[in-house]
Amino acid sequence: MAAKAVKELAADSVETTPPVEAGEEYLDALENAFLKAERHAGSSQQFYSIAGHLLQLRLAGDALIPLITPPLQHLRVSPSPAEPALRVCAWDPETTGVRAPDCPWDTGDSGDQAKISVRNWDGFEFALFKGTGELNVLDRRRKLGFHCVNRAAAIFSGPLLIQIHWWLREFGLHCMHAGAVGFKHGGALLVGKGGSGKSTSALCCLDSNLGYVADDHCLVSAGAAPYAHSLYSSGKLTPAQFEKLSFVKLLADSPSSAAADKTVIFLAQSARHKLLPGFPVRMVLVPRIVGGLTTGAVPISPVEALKALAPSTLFQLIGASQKDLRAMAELVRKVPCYRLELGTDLAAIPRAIEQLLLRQFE
Amino acid sequence: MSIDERLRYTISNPPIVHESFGDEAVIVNLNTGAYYSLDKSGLAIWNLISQGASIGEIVDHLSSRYAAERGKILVSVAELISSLQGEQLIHSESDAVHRANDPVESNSNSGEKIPFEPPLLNKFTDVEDLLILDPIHDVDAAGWPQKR
Repeated sequence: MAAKAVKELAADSVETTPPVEAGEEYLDALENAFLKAERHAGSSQQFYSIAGHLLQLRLAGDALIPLITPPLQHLRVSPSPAEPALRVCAWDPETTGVRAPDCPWDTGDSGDQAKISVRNWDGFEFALFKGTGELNVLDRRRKLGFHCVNRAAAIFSGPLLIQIHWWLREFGLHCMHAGAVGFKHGGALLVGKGGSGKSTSALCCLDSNLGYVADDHCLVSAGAAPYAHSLYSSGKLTPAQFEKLSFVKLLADSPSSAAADKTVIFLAQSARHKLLPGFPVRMVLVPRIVGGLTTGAVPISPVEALKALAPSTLFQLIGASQKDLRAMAELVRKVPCYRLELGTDLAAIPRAIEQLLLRQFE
Repeated sequence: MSIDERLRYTISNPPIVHESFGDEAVIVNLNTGAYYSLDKSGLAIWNLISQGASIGEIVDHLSSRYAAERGKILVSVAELISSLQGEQLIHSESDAVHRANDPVESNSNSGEKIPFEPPLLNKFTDVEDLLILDPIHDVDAAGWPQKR
């Protein structure tokens, strides 16, 4: 029997084994825990349209509201009678007094700080960050997600990233580690690992003719006409960047939040006019700090762009797969790719991007 | 060195994801945070491995394309396969020797042969800290996590 067929048989047999029930019981226990947290601490809900898909966020208590909702504020929509495509139930154990139930499988010894993940098993995804206790669960059959996190571990700038990645990739929307700036009829993705100048380049564009979609993560549909969708209206800056980009201080909603060694700014209120819901992707730019004054662009191969985009994207997503890499490869094959050689004159960065885009539109 | 040319290998997907372009393949190990590239003869070998070719079939293919002795190509192929195995990017198929050959895409070269350069596996670890700091224990289709 071919190895492929053996693997398929093995996968089938897993789906009919008794532990399915353990998963079902665990999901029921999670739902009961969330309902208990709601009873203890009160409940609120908000609706968001994420790349056209309706997300209902149900929160037990109010401790997570300032931690989860600000970066999503620009995608908020009125409460809808329509069935949401996904309902995420979120709570924190500290203020609600309700812990997430223990998962029904071995999570290793107590000193182990790893993430434990279960990948797309019978429509179910699970990730537990043992160090912080952050739990993410998605049950596609029930269109239901759970997010349990202590306040100290909540991610200010990119909340629910794992949930959104799991949920929307089924619709061909891939979370990519990329900034996105441009015009409503076309823009550029800025890709590269942390420290490459991606966020600086994106945030510089707030002081230019270009609109802003993302500085760090966005959703991209690949295929014949790649399109970038806004996910978060936040930006992350080091103290040095924050000092250099003085105009950002004026645009950012207050108060900003400190996360790790970076300041997180929220743009939904005072910089709403700069935010774009998305645009067709017309090019991929790989920033590189080279010194000098001006910023220039050099054509690069698709594979060079993929090497800048793919590893840092894939390594940040739990449950990343060949499908995600394939989407990124499709993207860089479809549009021209450039290395954006960044100079010290920050105002020159958006000008260079704008010129590249205008040339592309001709 | 005795090399069994009947051996075949399988790309360890998951956790290995890969994409081939015209002149280069990008290979990512989602477990370790390392990524790799292969070009020239290395790209051809990688593509043939992914098609299920045996060592002998890979060597035959390269011999039709490159101006080098078959023995030299065989040693280079074996060395690259050893590196790929060492990086846990591929594993040998336990039933590979005995299974019927799947047709491997034929790409014999009737034109002039080009000089052979031994393949080189380029490894990049510049973003592995994203994973190393916070390793993941995965469970995939092989089974649900062990019940307590």
